[in-house]
Amino acid sequence: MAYAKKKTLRNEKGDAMVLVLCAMMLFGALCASVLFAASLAQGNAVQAAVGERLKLLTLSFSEMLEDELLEKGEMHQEDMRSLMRQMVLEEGVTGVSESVNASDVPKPMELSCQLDGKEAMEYLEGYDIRVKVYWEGKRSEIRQKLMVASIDGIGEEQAYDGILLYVDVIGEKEEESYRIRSEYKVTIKQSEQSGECEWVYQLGGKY
Amino acid sequence: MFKKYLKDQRGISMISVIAAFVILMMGILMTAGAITTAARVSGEALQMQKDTDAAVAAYYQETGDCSSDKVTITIRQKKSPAEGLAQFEGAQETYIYTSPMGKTFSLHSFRSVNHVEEAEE
Repeated sequence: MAYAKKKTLRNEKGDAMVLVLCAMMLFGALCASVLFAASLAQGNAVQAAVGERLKLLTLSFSEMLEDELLEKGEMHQEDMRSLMRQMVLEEGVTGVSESVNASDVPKPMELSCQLDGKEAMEYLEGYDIRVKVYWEGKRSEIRQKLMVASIDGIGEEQAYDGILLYVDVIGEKEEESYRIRSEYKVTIKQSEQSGECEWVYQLGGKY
Repeated sequence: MFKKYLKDQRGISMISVIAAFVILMMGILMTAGAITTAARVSGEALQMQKDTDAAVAAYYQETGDCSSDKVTITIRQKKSPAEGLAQFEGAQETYIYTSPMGKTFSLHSFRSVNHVEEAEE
């Protein structure tokens, strides 16, 4: 039994094939690593191209929104300035109706974009645009002003004077995304004659 | 002395040598193919990177084919789409850059209608 085992161990038949298979494995590993490095380089190039497209798309869209928000003159029911005003007022009311200990962390309000009635992703061949808006201000002060205004029955909107409005434009394609944030200072002017409030947006910065 | 070597029957058969050679050749050919493919793919990646940079540079220098369409942009609240919405006109521009190799690279951008009208004037 022991002799037969020893004989099997000393048997050198098939050595050459083992060597060839080892060489093949080395070649295989070399091929795989070379192909992996090349595909990685191509992946990076595609990612860079998508990133540049997203950057341009997002920046230009953000600039267009900026033009809409900074536009002077009468506010219409369906313009950007009016939508922002409406959203701040709605979110403000929700915030105030919460308990006194409610967190002061601003809640972003999400907006969707349609171009000629089509979803942005459909119109822009797979590139999507989303807008997120939130505002910051001393909420305790705003709550106080709102309470006074509710007693007096006037000047509710004035409570939001001086808040900072942040508009985030996010461009996305699959897993790639690019975001740009614009900061606006909101000044609320009340007309003495009609008593109507005018919301003036002033660009604070972009980052 | 030579008689001893001539009588020695140990060694590898011709079939084994041919089989090993064929397998080794397959490995060498596979490696050569992989290196060629990798070189081609890397070259394409490098070209794509160059094209991207050139397209972006050409976009800012405004030297290329550009088509502009007026679009109506509607922005709605996701939470309650029926309640709040803003609608305005904008220009959606598609900028097409053709590389010296003949590949096209398109870039989308937006412009305020006011800006387009100012530029036309």
